[in-house]
This record gives sequence, structure tokens and C-alpha cells, in this order.
Amino acid sequence: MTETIKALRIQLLKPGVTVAVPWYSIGIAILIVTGLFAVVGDTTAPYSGRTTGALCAFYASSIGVQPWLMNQLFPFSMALSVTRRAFIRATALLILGEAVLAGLGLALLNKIEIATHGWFVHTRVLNLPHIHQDDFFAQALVYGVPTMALTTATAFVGAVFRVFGQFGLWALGVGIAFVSAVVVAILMLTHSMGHVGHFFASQPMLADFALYPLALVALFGTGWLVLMSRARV
Amino acid sequence: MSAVVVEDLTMRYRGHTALNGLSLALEPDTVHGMLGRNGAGKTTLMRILTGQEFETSGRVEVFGQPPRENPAVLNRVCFIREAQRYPSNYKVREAFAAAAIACRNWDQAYADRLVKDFELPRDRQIKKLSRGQLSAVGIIIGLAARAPLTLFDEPYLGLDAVARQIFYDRLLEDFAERPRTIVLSTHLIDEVADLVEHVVLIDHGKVLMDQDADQLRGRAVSVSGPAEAVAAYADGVPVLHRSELGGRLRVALAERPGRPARDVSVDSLTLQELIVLTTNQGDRK
Repeated sequence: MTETIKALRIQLLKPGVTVAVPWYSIGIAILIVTGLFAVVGDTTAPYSGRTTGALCAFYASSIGVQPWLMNQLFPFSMALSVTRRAFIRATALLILGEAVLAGLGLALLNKIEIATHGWFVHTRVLNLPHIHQDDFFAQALVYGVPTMALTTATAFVGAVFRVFGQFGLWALGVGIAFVSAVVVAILMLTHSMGHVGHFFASQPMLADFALYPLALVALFGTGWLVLMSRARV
Repeated sequence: MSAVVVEDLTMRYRGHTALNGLSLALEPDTVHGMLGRNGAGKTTLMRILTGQEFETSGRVEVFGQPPRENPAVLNRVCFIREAQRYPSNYKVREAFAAAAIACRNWDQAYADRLVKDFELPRDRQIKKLSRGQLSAVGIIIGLAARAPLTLFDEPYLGLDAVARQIFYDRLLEDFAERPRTIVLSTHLIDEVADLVEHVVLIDHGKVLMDQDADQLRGRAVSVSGPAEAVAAYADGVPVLHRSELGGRLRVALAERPGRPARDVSVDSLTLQELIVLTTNQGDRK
């Protein structure tokens, strides 16, 4: 455990890079959105029509962290004689910690948004209609688990680059595109596309935003683990 | 007990054999010079010793244990590579902060002194450093880590002669106060000739020479003079190199045979000359 904590402390040496970037982004996004709504000042539009996509900034800005960890911090940590095992455990802890922080933090900001009637300008940044939960912790799951799925997926992509280089990324991209095309073709030919859409639409919101992303975490996490165990520097 | 024991070590990458049944033992508290041509297998060996690469076959022990994923070993090891990569958005002081976390013997006061010696800008981002300054970062980490086994693989890429001399001086001073096992891989053989106590020459993944530096110094000689006199003097001694022009013969001998005849001139070979000739002889074989 000492080794894992040591590796984690190195990963957190620049918290501004590893943890804070999505929070800067959502903070700036809220400022811009509230500023725009305050300037426009039109309060006649219904609340349902005042939805923004600012939450995407939070997720989009967290994409670069894991590839940075895999390709820059991993070789440096190995030079400092951190074991692969310790680095992998520390990264898994970091991903989990970031997901918990994202879930609880965004759920708290959501409470503030509701309490301030949309940041005093009736805007919807976090309290989006399709992901609203009454329970605080359920809301935290809806925000946090997709964060974990996204960071695990980007960690996997970073590990692919670490092990296979540029060619690996190219092969991964082509492979995903090919599999996606085959799946879509099969769904189209069997007239099943509607059924798939209906299936996800009929699921409880928690299943769509917490359970199925967990399956992605397991899938990408396993791939990441296998690759990083073999990674050389 | 040896600090490093390697027996019949083989490492193959996709059809290329980097190490070919290499065996070696490195004594503790000694400065070892690991010499050899580019692609000889030095870096691969050091990567295996530090758990960064996995051997295909053979036995590797560092401080009596296999290094692979072994924190008990790796906590006592520091490996500074040629063109060591650092997180590009790190500042110099952040690289040292990471080393302070990872290295249990880290000496911050000593690191600060070395920063002054190398005139490193502590608050500059790593990506904005010159090649020589980047090498200085690695050297400072390697020295201030004070790891019981420290490996430097061509650590001074881009460093000027003054900075390299600072490195040699600090290494010797610190080694005298705190003896530890240091492995220094370099192509600047003459510069480190007086620094290393033991020489390992690797070529084509095998050990060509494994000897104490004191034994090597002055042992190999260059002999020149009339061809017949030189041939008589060199009789029965392994010849590393031979060239003849007119009636004069010049040979490099692996050992000094004894007192030469009056018209035969004998000069000691430098370590670099000996390494070059031994490697060439190994290649011919």
C-alpha cells in the first residue's frame, strides 16, 4: 500500500492537471452561460427551453488527463523505480476518486443551481431534464459513473498509445469504426434499430447513466490493466 | 554478496537478440563503467536490472532478489537514462519533488547545491530546458537520490565539458563520503577512465571484458620498432592490433611481455584504445 500511496502522491503532484481541469471548465462554462443569459435577459422563455450544453465542458476537458498519465508520468515514475503494479493501483484509485468527486461535486452544484433558480437567471446547466434525480446520491451516481467510464476509456486509449504507439491508435480507431459499422448494418438489416432505442429509453434513468457506464468501466478497465501490465518504457 | 548477479541472460525482441547469454556480477560499493558500442545491449541490460524490461530467459538478481515488480529491490535503485523523459508540463522543482517522494534516501540540501552548481532554473518548465539542462536534471536526481544502486546511461547528452567535469567531481566526492554501487554507461571513455574502478565491455549482447580498471591500466601496450625486434618481443602475447609499414611494425598487445629490447618502443594504451581494439577483435571473431 505504501508503494501505491507513493505513486498516487506523484500523480497528484500537479493537482491542477490531474484533478482540477474539469472544475475550471465547468466554472468558466457556468460564468459564460449565466453572463449570456443575464445579458439577453429574456425571462419569457419557458424553463424547459433554457437548457444549455455547458455540462459537456466538464466531461470534454477531462479527456486529456489519463493519456498524459500513461505517456508522460508513467515513464518518469518508472525511472523513479515505482513498480507497474503500484502505478496501476494508484491510477485506479485516482480514477475512482475523481469519479466520486465529480459525482458529489456536480450534485452539490446542481443543488445550488436549483436553490438559486438557475444561477439567478433561470438557466439549466446541471439540472438537465433527462438526468434529473430527486435523491442527492442518485444524482451523484448519474454524474459520477459516466465520468469514471470516460476516464477509464481515455486511460485505455492512453495505454494503447503507450504499448502500440501511433499505429495502435490508428488500428483502434479503424477497429471501433469497423465494429460500429457492422453493428449498425446488422441492426438496420434486421430492422432492430428501433428496438434498441426503445430498450434504452424504457430503462430506469439510473440504469442508463450508472449501470451501463459501469459495464464500460469494466470493459475498458480490463483492457487498460492488461496493456499497462505489459507496458515498457 | 554481489550487488548485481546476471547469469545466462537472453533478451530477444521480434527476431533481434539484444542480450545473448550474458553473465555478469557487479560488486557493491564500486563505480562500474559499462562500455560498448551503440546497440551492444547496455541499455537493455540496465532496463532489465531496473524492472523496466523483462528478460526472455536467464537469472537476474539485484541485492539478492529478482528486480521484476519487486519494490524491495526497486526502492534501492535509481536509473537515469539517456534522453530521460519527464512530464513536459513539470517545472524543474516539480521533477525534484517527485524524486523526493519516490527516493527514500533523497537529500534535498544536496539537490539544492547541485542545482546551483549546474545553474539550473528551478522554476522553468521542463519542456523549455535545453538538452544539456535536461541532462543536468537527470544527473541531479541520480546523485541526490543516493540509491544503493544508481545507473547512469549516457546521462550527459548535450552537457558541456565544464558541466561534465562538475558531474565527475560531484560523483567522486559523494561516492567517497557515501560509497554505493554506481553503473556508468558512456562513450566518453577517456573522460571516465580515472573514475571507474571496474570495467564491463559489452558487445553483441555478450560480455567481452569484465575486469578491474587498475588491472587494465598499463597492462595493454602499444609496441613499435623494427619488425623483427617487435615480433620477437611480442611472441606468445595476444595481439589486439597489428600494422606494418616498410620495415617497421606496430602492435597492440593485451599484456606487457617484459623488458623490451633497446630499439623497441613501448607505450601504455589508454582505456579507450584498449576498448576499441578489444571490440574490433571481438567483431572479427
